[in-house]
Amino acid sequence: MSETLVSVQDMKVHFPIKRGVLLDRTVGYVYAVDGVDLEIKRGETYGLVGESGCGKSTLGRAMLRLNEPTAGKMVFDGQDFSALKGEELRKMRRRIQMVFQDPLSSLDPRQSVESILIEGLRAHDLDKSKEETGKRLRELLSAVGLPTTALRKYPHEFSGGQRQRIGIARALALNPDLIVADEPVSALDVSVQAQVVNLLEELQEQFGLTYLVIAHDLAVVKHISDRVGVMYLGGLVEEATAADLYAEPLHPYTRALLSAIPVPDPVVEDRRERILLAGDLPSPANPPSGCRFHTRCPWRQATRCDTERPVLREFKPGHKVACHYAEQIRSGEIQPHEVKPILVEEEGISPDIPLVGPASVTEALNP
Amino acid sequence: MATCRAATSCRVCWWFEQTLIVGVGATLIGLTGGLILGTLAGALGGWVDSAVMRLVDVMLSLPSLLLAFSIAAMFARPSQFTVILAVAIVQIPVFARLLRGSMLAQRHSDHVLAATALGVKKGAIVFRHMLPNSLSPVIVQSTLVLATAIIEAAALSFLGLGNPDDRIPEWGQMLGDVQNVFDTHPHLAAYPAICIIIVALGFTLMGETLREALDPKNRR
Amino acid sequence: MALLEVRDLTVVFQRKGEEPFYAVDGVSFDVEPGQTVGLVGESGCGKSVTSLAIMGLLPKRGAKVTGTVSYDGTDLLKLSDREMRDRRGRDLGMVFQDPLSSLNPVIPIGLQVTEVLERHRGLARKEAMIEAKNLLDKVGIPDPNRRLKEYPHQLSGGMRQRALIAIALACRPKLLIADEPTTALDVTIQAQILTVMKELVQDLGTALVMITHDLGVVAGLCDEVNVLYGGKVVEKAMRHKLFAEPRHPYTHGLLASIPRLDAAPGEKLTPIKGSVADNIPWTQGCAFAPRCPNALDICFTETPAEEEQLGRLLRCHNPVVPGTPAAEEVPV
Repeated sequence: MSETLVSVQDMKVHFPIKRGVLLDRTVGYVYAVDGVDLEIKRGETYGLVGESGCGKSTLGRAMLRLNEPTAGKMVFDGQDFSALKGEELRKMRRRIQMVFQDPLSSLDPRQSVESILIEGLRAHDLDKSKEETGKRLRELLSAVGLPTTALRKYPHEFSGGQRQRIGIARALALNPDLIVADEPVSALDVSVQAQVVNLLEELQEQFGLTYLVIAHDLAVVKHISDRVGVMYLGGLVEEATAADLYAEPLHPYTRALLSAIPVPDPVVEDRRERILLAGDLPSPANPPSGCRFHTRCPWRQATRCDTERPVLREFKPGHKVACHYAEQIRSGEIQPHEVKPILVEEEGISPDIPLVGPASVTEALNP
Repeated sequence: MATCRAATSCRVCWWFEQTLIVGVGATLIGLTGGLILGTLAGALGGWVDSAVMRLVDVMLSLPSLLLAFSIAAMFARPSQFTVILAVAIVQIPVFARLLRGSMLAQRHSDHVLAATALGVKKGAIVFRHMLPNSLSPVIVQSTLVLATAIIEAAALSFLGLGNPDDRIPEWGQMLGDVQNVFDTHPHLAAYPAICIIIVALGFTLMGETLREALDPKNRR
Repeated sequence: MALLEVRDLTVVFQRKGEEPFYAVDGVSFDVEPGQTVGLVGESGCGKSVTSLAIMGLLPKRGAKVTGTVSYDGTDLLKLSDREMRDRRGRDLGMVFQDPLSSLNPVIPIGLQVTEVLERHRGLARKEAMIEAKNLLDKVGIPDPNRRLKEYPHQLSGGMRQRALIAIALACRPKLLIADEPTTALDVTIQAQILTVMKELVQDLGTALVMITHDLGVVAGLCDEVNVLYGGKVVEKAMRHKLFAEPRHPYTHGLLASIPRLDAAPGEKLTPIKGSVADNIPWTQGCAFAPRCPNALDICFTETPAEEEQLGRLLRCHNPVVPGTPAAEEVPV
């Protein structure tokens, strides 16, 4: 159980910002992921939370090498996954699968469910005989709770929850060790979310899967995960077991995040004290010096915070935090104070926008 | 007078066949060229993309008719084939750019990422996922291009760069013939014009139907 | 009399050759000044269409709106387009989900605010500029003087939503309708916006209609909550009552299916089976019946009537008895 399956070491993903009409010039970088270390043990669910723009999805994709990391490596089951090339990499992909946020866009509208599920099998020569494949497909469908009649249908004929089940079945088809689920429920209706969350938990038990669940909803992550990592602006700020993190958040950002999540209970809501953060997330193209959070931190101190970047250190066994003053904040020695919001310049640079220059002069002139 | 009218209508019908050959031929060749260039640029990206697109830019920056004239004039003996080739080359950049754009959008789409994560080979991703999902705007465009191709072919033959064989008439040639009698018999110019409208409209409608037929949402 | 009285509001979309679709089916609710009323439900429940119908923003062709929406005694549905245009912005403000597409991208924020002030309150340009600055300040936009000159794309999502609220508030409307105002925003920004809205209701006595799918947002903000399903209100009560004792199986099921931050570790979620695609038409029975763990035979044959008891409206043949745990999940 305690064997490490995945180990990410100092992973960095920097996207170049390109300008220029004829010749592209790199004018800067978006520091989407900026030095992340994490370990995932076999059979556990690791939850990665953070707000949009914190780099959690980019990190997940870089781990799968859907984005090439700028630096750092990922060791998967003792093998350096980030060093693999060509055919070796393609073969290894079988063991790491992904579930996407938008179940409709992640399924090719021109493929029937059958061909979606067979595609992976075929790519890895697992599509041996017709009967065997047919049996495998029926197994997969029943595992995710879809009727066998679904095989001949197309993605648009299903509801959102059912489509997500197809996406999960596709990931399962190759018997992977690790499934990276990027916001697996956030595009679904509230009443359907729980179906998918429960399904993921059942499948984990049944097939002994390891999950990396990436989500912005801390309540979902807390429910599904064994351990949780909180990201802010490209770096991990805190990592602990789900129960620990909720019971005793150490990083000021985690505290604010937890206090901001609404709880569907008026009694709790009326009593709660909110830590309101001032202003917006700074641009990842121009991150603040020192601690990335110091511009919005209500516990910010005059020294160290703006000059020295805190490392993720072990605060107590199993609970890591990246804050210079975690002890003093916990003991109440340092009290929160008012923060003046700092202007955040939006320059139209965001990691969500694919950073490609204009295709041609004509495209640049009349977009 | 009566014979003249009969001859005209006969020539209009015959022209229809010739125009179809020129229009469809030019569009098909242009489409094929555009598909190859667009797929190269959209699927490979990087410097291939830049190189292809700069080439396309150069072609687009020349006035299309002028380009067609120069290509047609390069051949010592103009024929129907040279007309087709000249018109086709002009259409290539239009298709290439359109396809590249929608291929690029596909490249960043989740289902292509999903296929990559599955370990599907790159070639299979391009031809099974990216290309089929990028084709529908190209197909619609090709029906519009058909109409343009017909007009450009006509312009070439109007200027004498078409098929020199007088027995095989073309629209441009007919317009040229009608020129001197236009004051007295303007309707002679109307027949080819009406025909081109019907043909163009027909192809546009065909494109629309084709697009709908290709949309998986309308299946079953 | 309440500030806004919606009675039997029905919106039918009818396309040629298709069955009429009842997006909103006899919805009634009141909003008092200074009160916040929530309309909660999932996609397709008719909550957004309700707000558009109140604002008179539904297309004239294709959508048939019946019932009454009386605002301060006048029926908004009977007003002409021109009269309605005058009311929007002045009496009724609206905040949409997507702040970027609701702002004009080529006009600076300042001009978009002053435009409303000049048009509805008849202020001169200079006065309007000062007032606009105050408004931006009130909704918590830092350095308003500079922000006034900026274009929507230069602001972050949270700032855009604040700007939109500032525009909606520019004419001190007595009623503000907010359609999923925080859905596109991050939780920490959502907390900021909700605080701003709460303060506005308290300070200005604005009545607020809050449309959302997030029961957490409702729990902290709304006084009265209407739960919508398939175009009808299935349960209506004051928030404490509703959350403490949800009686409709849908409300009950929703609450049991959301993971709660303060739940004990290892707690199982109880999802609602199926999806909205399984609904049966209200004319036949209860739309929720095919997904309902409490469904009886009668639920499939007879439309449940709206019944009022102890300050709670309920539309159900077999409501949940208070204190029962969520029904065991039935395999799909």
